[in-house]
Amino acid sequence: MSPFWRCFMAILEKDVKIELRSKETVATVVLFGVVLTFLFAFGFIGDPQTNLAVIPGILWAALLLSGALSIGRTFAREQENSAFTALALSPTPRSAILAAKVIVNIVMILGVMLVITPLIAVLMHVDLSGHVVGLSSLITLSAIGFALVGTPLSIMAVGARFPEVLLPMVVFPLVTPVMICGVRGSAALLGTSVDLNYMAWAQMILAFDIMIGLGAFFLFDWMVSE
Amino acid sequence: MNNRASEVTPSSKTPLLWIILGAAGMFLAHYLVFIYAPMESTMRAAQRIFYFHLPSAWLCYIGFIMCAGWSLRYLMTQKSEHDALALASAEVGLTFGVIVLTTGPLWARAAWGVWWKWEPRLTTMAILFLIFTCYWVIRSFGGDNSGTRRFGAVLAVLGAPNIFFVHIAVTRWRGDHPNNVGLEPEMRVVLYSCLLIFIIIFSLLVRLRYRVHMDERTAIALSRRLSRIGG
Amino acid sequence: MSQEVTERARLEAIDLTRAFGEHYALIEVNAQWRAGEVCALLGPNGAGKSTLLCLLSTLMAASEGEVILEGVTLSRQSAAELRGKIGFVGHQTMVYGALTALENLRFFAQLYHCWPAGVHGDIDAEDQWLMESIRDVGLEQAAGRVTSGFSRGMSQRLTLARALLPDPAVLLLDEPFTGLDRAGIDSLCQLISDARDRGTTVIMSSHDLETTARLADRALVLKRGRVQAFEELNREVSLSELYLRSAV
Repeated sequence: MSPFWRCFMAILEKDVKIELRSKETVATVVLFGVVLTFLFAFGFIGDPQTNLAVIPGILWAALLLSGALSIGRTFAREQENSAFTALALSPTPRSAILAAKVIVNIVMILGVMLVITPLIAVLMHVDLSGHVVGLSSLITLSAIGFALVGTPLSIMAVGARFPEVLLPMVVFPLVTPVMICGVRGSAALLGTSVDLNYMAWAQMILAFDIMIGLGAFFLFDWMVSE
Repeated sequence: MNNRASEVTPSSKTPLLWIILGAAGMFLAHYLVFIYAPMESTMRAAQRIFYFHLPSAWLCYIGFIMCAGWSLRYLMTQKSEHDALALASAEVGLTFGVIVLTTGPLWARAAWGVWWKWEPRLTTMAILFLIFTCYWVIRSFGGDNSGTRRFGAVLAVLGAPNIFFVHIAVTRWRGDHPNNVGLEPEMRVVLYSCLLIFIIIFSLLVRLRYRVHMDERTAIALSRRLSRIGG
Repeated sequence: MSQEVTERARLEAIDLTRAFGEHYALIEVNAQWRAGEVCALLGPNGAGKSTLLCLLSTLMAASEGEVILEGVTLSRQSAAELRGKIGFVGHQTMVYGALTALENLRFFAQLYHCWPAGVHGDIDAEDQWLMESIRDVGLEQAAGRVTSGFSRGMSQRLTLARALLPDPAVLLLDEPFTGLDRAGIDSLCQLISDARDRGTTVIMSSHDLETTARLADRALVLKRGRVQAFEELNREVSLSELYLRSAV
């Protein structure tokens, strides 16, 4: 096994083990997502047509907000006892750290969305059962995009001893394309918007993911040299 | 010490010619826009905003793209000059961005009756402006260490191509282009003269800001050397 | 000093300088360390001891100057290779609280890929090998316990076990004795001198002069970022004497 895969698997295994044991991050992030869902539901509940129209916005806002929390939490774990220093001092390829953390964050965001999406459908009296495939592909692509932007920046923020509150401020503008495409795509799916097929929007998120992914992995070695 | 001192020399000449050109150009631009340019039939005087608005928008984009380019360069070389150029370009880009985002709504109010429209160019500019404001805030408050520089550089490199996506996304979402009115020859003359003048001012500002940043760094390096000798 | 120069140094610092903003933490440090020696790093707070250790450990990049480990200059390209040869124990314990001692070591062994021949791939043999190093630091009773319940001393032992796992060429210790009881200090000393006997270069900063004196072969004294003294310790030059002399 190449060093990349060996370290990638080791970090992934370690994170999963810690999460299964403490369940701290999952619990925090999912609970946060649920609270958000209720807040949005209180704020936007109306007649059936309005509900259908606002659901995409709620879903993607929830995705971004709980994603930001998830990324913050996964790094809080590394910063406890400065364990990240030990990781940085080991001969681990930097890209393996990034890849493992991106995967962890994607799984985390998808986990939250798995809870939130049905909940929002129930609270807003909307039947989403006919759009499972479309919605999940849009959400998955968005989660990948968000994790690809947020993870390298948060790793760098750890190194730069950066106030963590600045992170969402930086990440959210960068993921605007994901937000627009996700919301428009699911609106197309639910039939509240007639501009384009949802596939076209999904393709755009995919293109965004690929571009950011290439950029992040290409640059990452330069990002954390200290 | 010597090589540090020599870093300062090439930029220490005051670009007097450029300053004169820029200042004279600005007067000329005002003359052209307000007196020379013919009155547009539908939008009347409000149309004149456009002569400053469009060149500013182009230069704002150029500033941000330059920032991304120099940032990429900086990530690869770790050279202080490249970082200073990136920062200077972003700052000047932001300055022109402020012009765009002030003149834009004024024009929109006159043309469309609303201050803001979810229109591709407007939205793209707003997002881009937001990203580079973040860049600037981080560079200003994060302290001038290599961590902050690198963070800013990555932000710029990831942020600039982002714009491409925002633009396409909004175009698909709201295909509401501002109608490209055919310009009269005089209008064209005014527009391109303004663009040329703005380019002069833009490059002058980038150069001066770059010099300020480099001088600041030299000053810090020198005071470090002093403290080293003393301590 | 002159006779060491002829011997090939294991670790070298050449004009090593590090600035934070306008402040210099380390100024033109030149030093060479041999294989199998323990070097004490002394100096008042803020003298640059931690900074020097951070630079040597690849954790920080030097503002000027270079670090050479076994003839290879530390750079972005060589960092990954060199990191495998450096063990570092810092102020923080750098272990994962939710994992057991054994799991912590297993994780780092995977990253360093430092399994001895024939052990890799066989989970039981791997665990056995890891248990050996846990036994070396006297944690065998707690190997299966989650480290968040560990005392400072226990965490410190585990950290040392982690640092020693790849049998590093250079072992860097930043204040390793803080928070340890007498027995803990004794066993740590034993581990350090064992490592020295295996040929490891040990560089440690400490305020515990008495304990350091038991181990150190040489001492490097820093003051305001500069090397104040770098001398062989023997009957004529004792550690406390050197420290006092340079502190004045």
